[in-house]
Amino acid sequence: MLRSGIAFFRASRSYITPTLEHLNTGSGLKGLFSPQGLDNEWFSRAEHYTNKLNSLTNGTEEAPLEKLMYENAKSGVKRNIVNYATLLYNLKFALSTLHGCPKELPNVSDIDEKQLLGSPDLTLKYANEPLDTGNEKLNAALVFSFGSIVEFRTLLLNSNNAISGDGFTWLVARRVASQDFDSQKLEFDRLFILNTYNAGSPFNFNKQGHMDELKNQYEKVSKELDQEQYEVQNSLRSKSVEEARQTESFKDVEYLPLLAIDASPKAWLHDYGPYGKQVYLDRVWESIEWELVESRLPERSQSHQLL
Amino acid sequence: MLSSNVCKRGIHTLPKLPNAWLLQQQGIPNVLSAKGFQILWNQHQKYLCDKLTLATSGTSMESYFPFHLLLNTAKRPFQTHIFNLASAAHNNHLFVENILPNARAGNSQASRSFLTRVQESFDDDWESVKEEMVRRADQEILGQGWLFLVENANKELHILLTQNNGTPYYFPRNQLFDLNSALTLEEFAQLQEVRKLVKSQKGQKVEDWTMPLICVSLWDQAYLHDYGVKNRSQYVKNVLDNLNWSVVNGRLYSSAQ
Amino acid sequence: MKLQTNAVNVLERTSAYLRSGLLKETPAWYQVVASVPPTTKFTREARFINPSTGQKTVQWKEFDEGVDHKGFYKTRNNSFDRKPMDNRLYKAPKLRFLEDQLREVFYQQHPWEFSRPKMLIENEIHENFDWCHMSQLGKPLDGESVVQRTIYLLQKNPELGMIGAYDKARFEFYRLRMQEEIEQQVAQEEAEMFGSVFSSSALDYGVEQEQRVIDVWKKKALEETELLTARRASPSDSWGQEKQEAEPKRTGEDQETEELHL
Repeated sequence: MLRSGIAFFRASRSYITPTLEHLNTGSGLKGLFSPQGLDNEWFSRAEHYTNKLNSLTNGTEEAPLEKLMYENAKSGVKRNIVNYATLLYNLKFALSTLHGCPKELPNVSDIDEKQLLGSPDLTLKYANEPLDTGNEKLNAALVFSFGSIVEFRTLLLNSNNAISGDGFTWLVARRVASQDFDSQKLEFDRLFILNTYNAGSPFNFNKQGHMDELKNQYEKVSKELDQEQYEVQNSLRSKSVEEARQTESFKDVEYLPLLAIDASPKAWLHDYGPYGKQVYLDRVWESIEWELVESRLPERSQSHQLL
Repeated sequence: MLSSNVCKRGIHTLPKLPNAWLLQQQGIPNVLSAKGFQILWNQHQKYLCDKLTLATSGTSMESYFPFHLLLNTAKRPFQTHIFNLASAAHNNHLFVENILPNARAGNSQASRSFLTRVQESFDDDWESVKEEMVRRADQEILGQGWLFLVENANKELHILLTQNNGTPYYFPRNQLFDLNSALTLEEFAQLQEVRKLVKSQKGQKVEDWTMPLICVSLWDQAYLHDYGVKNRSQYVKNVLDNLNWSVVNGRLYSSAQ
Repeated sequence: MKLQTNAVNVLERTSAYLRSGLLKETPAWYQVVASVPPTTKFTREARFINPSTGQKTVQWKEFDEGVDHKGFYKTRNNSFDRKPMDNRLYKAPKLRFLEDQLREVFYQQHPWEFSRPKMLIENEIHENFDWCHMSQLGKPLDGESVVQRTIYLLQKNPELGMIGAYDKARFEFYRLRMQEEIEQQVAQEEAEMFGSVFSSSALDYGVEQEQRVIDVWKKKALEETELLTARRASPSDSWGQEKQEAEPKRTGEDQETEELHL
């Protein structure tokens, strides 16, 4: 009673640590995290990021995380706030779909250097596939976008495994924001797998054009060209490949996240050891709650087939 | 000395540390517990060495040391996976070397030339520079990374923070900025300068004579077991308070050498 | 001439010397020669069956066993009756290995595997790999791994069959390659996202070259447009003059467009 009262009082002026219903302090997540592992991955981290966010926003009025991410996304000065807000959002999103699996946790000391040389498993049918849990709509969308569930699983887990530092691997639905598209209707045309690093966000609408703006500003400052001259000189200049990737690639599309997997060592180091990322990912696959993923899936557009 | 010993062709093995057995039993006093040290060195470093072996054996790079590998692959974007491993293995060795407990007790003091160099470069004493290092590590490295105190070609000291597996030896690969979040104009200007410089070199190697003096790992593998998620700053502080000064002093350039 | 056996008997003689004490120390070659003794059979025997193919190398003429014109019976062939089937009789037989066949099949199916650089100089020969797993420390993942792994699987599990073992090895190889490739791509992306700067890639070089042509074109296009607008703005030029001018101007334009196409 008292605790809830305090929480209510705090909520009125600052951020409170987010909670997830299926995760409780002191108990792990069956088959995926030990109590300490879950603490590293979720409770401590959420608390840490929230504290940081509170100290950075400095008692100003609480805004939803999404709003913070959206409004300050292009501000270099406020980037710490955005980073912690994004991290909290990403982490909560990633853990919301993890519901444990019936297996026992592996013994950390068993996962040693032999793990690196182990022969890959050749099964074509894995435990806990979307079809096993009866999510036919999701299954159809995945098969349409990736070819088969095996291909999807391989791409998803390999993408995550390849991240060397912190980051998330996302399953996203692409929404084309073209003119003849009904802007109210939430439709997707294809699913994709996407990596973000550190506090990167799968939402691109808010950061679009950031690099271009910076470049314009930079060139104006450095060359002190007046606007007209600058326009004339640059109207026909093509960008380098890297620049183009940073500035042009997400112009007309939006991504709607469905599923996220955390790649940070904070998630797997305690329970799986330095060699255990692959084992962790296999367990993550078995712990995914496809029901929830499917509920996030919008309708597939019938008329706009891009490919 | 800084690189893994290569016993068999192209196979990277754990570098030998003095008193390795004792370290595994006791850890590093005031910094890491025995288990924490085992994760950092016996497992993580071994993992890096094994991965590096897998990535390089049978190629023209198989008999290089990690240091040479990282310089060699720094320019080539398609070999970044090798660069990451080599840079991590090298940095990790640097890090463990400068936190190893001193064999002779009481011999661990910053040399006078180091302290004067700090005073000259930062216009401040070592204690406040240390605080600055802790503060900047907390502020600038959100995920994984490395904290360095480096000496550049003009013998000035700088604090350098690299994201993920950035290397202090080659500035286009310092990985100073996190482009996943927004950049300030100054940072973008700096990045743009580096781009221009690299481009103007036409494939020639950009010269960079920066040498690391102090290296602190900000990777989870180093501190997570002993300090938990929230106390990374405490860990950085502990490391900086318990440096092996004979190693750090030896890395400093002196005209007598 | 008597057969010269002195050299062949060196082991026996040395043993005798050692026993009798004539030699104090055992020579260094002693153990080696004892374990691989020299042959004592000096007669060269004709080889009528090729050991690598199991086929006859020689055909003998048939003869009837009746009395010939001299009144003799012919009981066996003489050297004139021999007809060599293979004129490469003394050539070393070709060695055939299962591995070679696998290699051939693999590289025929995966020709791009040839494009991966391979080290020809070996610093040290270390070939004691345990093929119970595909990736090896000290050996790159390539077609040879598939071949060796196939052989291993076949030996472990003969009922798998050649095709089965090869397919299993091949699919393992695919999965590892997929992992490797994604690792390379992601590492590069990650490095760029953390502010690594690389010198221009091949694609960038192409874009730069293109840009140079576009810049030239833009300059000329601007000049052309100015000329055209100027002409349109001053219709005072007589029809006759323009007609005369029209021809040479045309060729000039052609030249310019040609330059642009270059």
